[in-house]
Amino acid sequence: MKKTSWRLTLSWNYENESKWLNEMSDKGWQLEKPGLFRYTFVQGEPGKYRYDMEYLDANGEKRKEYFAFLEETGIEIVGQLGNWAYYRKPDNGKPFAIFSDTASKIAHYKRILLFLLIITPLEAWFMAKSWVEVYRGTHDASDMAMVILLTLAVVLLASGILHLLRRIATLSKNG
Amino acid sequence: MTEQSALTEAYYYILLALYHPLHGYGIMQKVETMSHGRVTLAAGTLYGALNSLMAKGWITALAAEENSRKKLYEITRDGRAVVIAEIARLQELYQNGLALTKGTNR
Repeated sequence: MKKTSWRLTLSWNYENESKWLNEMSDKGWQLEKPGLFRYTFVQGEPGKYRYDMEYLDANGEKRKEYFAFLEETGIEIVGQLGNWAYYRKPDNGKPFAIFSDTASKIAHYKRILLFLLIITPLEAWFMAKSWVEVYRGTHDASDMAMVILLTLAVVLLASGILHLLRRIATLSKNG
Repeated sequence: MTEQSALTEAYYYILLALYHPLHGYGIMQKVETMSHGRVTLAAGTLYGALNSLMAKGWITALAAEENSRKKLYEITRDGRAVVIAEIARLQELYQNGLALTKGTNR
């Protein structure tokens, strides 16, 4: 039996997503295919797999090499969504995580942060441009909707950046 | 070799494990055995550490075996020198600690 679930996860909250995937696993739903909003699951043995996710910076051949390394250690690459990789491993009673020390966890957060720091100014620029058009009166109703969407996106991205900065600060302090 | 700061536990144990050539999974198992299960290296963390150690020239990847994509890693001469220096540093910490606390309960 298969099942489709809808969910929106913000990249900086990805830990909630892997937690959700583990909860689905406990209920007997194993991830088949991740999606931007749409996830498909296959029914199977409850709790069989533990899940984790990673934002990758390696591409092409380097990514293949990395995946081969992970597979050698018993990790299965369930799916990819852009630079996000979804992993799972049969449950052996120990928690499964792709990173085990503070330094590598911080490096991972910084990769996600870098992506946000690149796209946020771009979004902000589009937002500013749209607001200028609104003030000049050269807009119609659809432009107005766009301005509101862009503004929300910028606020959301900014909150994501703050969230990641806090996570990094906490990890650095507690070692 | 330039002045180096203390090695992380992960780096130290990876270097030790590589006195004999091992694959990635072999390193994870060996480190866990050596530390009696205290130090477990997650795959992503290990991969990053191996790349950093290679960039420093402390370990090297041997040519992959035929019909296998698995890479074997081994410590280099520079890597051994780093381990020796770290052992000396740890020995100083250990002996000073023992000398100062021995025979007392507090």
